[in-house]
Amino acid sequence: MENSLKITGAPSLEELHRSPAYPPEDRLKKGPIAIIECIEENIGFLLYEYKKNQQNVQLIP
Amino acid sequence: MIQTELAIVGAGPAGLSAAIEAGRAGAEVLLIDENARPGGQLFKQIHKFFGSRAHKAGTRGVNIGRELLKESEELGIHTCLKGEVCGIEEGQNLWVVIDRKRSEIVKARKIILATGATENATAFPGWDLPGVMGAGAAQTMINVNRVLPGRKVLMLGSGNVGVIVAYQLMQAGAQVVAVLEAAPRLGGYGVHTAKVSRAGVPFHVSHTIKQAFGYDHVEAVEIVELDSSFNQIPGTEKILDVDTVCLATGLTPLTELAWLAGCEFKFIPALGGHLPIHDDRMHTTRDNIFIAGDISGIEEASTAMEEGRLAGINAACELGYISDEEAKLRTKEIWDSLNSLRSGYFGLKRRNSKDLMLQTGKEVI
Repeated sequence: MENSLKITGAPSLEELHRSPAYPPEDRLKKGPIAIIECIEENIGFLLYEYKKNQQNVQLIP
Repeated sequence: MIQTELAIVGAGPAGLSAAIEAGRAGAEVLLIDENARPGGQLFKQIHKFFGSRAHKAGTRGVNIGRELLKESEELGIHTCLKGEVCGIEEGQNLWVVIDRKRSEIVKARKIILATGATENATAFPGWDLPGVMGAGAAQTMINVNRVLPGRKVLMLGSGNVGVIVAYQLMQAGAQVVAVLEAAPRLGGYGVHTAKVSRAGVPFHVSHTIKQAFGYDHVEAVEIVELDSSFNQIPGTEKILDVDTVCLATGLTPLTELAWLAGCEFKFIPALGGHLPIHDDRMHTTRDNIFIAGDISGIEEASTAMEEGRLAGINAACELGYISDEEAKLRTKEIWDSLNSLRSGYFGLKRRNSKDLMLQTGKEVI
C-alpha cells in the first residue's frame, strides 16, 4: 500500500522494501533477522540485527 | 520582599537547566514553580528520548528530571514551590502568590521566563462533558498520579503527543478505540505510530469529532470524515463507544508574563503562535528578561534544556559571573547542538522558524 506509514500508522511491506536499509536477499537467506521498524519518509529507517551468538544488537547504518 | 540575583519562573527542563548553569557559575538563583514539585512535564515522560547521546537519547524523561533535580539540589538552588507568579512590574519585580495563602514580591536583577506551554482545546458539542481532557492531562493522570482516566479512549490528534499518550494509555490498561487526525496524513514519528498501529488501534485520517454524547460523562462520540477543505462530509458519521476523549491538538506557549513585562512579540505559527522576540542569548526586548523553552516556541524537552542553558549562561554573564568571551563561546557551542536537534525531516521547519526569530532579534534587540 502506498503511503501506508502516514495513513495507517505502520509501513507496508512495499515501503519497507523501498528502504535502502532493508536486508538484502543474501542476508535473508542466512537465517532469521529481526527488523525493528523506525522508518520515516525521506530518511530511511534504522535496522537492528540481532546476533544470536554474540547476544548483542548491532545498528546497521 | 525577597531579593535575588536571578529569578527563574518555571522549574521544568528549561528552568532547571538555566538554574544549574547560572548556579554553577556562582549566581544566586531562585527557582519559582506553581507546582508542588519541580520537573515540569519531565516526570510524566516515561518514554526514552530521541536524538544523540549528548541530548540524553535513550534516557527516559523521568530519569532526566531526576538528574536535573539532583544537580540543582547539589548546587543549592533555592526553590519556591506552589508559587504562582501573577505579575511582573518594572521588568524586575515578580508578584508571587505562595500556596494560595500569601503574596510576596521577588525583586530580581535578572529574570528568566521558562513558563512552558498549555494544551490547546478543540470545541465540539459535548466537549464540556467530564471525560474530555487534554492528552497531556491524561498522561499526568496515568504516569504521575497512577489514575486511569477511562477504559475506552478516543484520541484526537496524531502528532507525537497523541500517539505517545495513546500507547501509554494502553500500557496503563485502557483500550484506545481509535486515533483521529483531521489532516489527510498522520503527524507523529513513524516509530510511534507504528507501535500503536501494530497494537491494533485504527487511525482515521481526515476525520474529526462531530459531537460527544453523555448525561454526566462521555458515553459515546460521533466522528465524521472531512473533505480536503476540512469541511464535514454529511453521511460519513460513525458512532464510537468511548468513555474518554483525549485532545492532542497542539500546544500554545504560555506568554502572559512576557506580555505583562512589555516584551515585543512576533507571530510564528510553526512555533506555536505569538512569541517573545529573542536573540541568540535568549534575551528578550526588555532589559533583564530572558526566556527559554516552550515560551520561545513549542519544541521538545531536549531543545528546552539547551535553551535553558543558553539563558542561564547569558544571565550569569550579565550578572558578572561569566566573561563575555566565555559566554559567547558556550553560546555558540549550544547553538551548534540546537541546530543538530533541529535537523532532518521533522526539524527543518523549526530550524527555519528559529532562524527567522533570531534574525528578528538581531534587528530589534
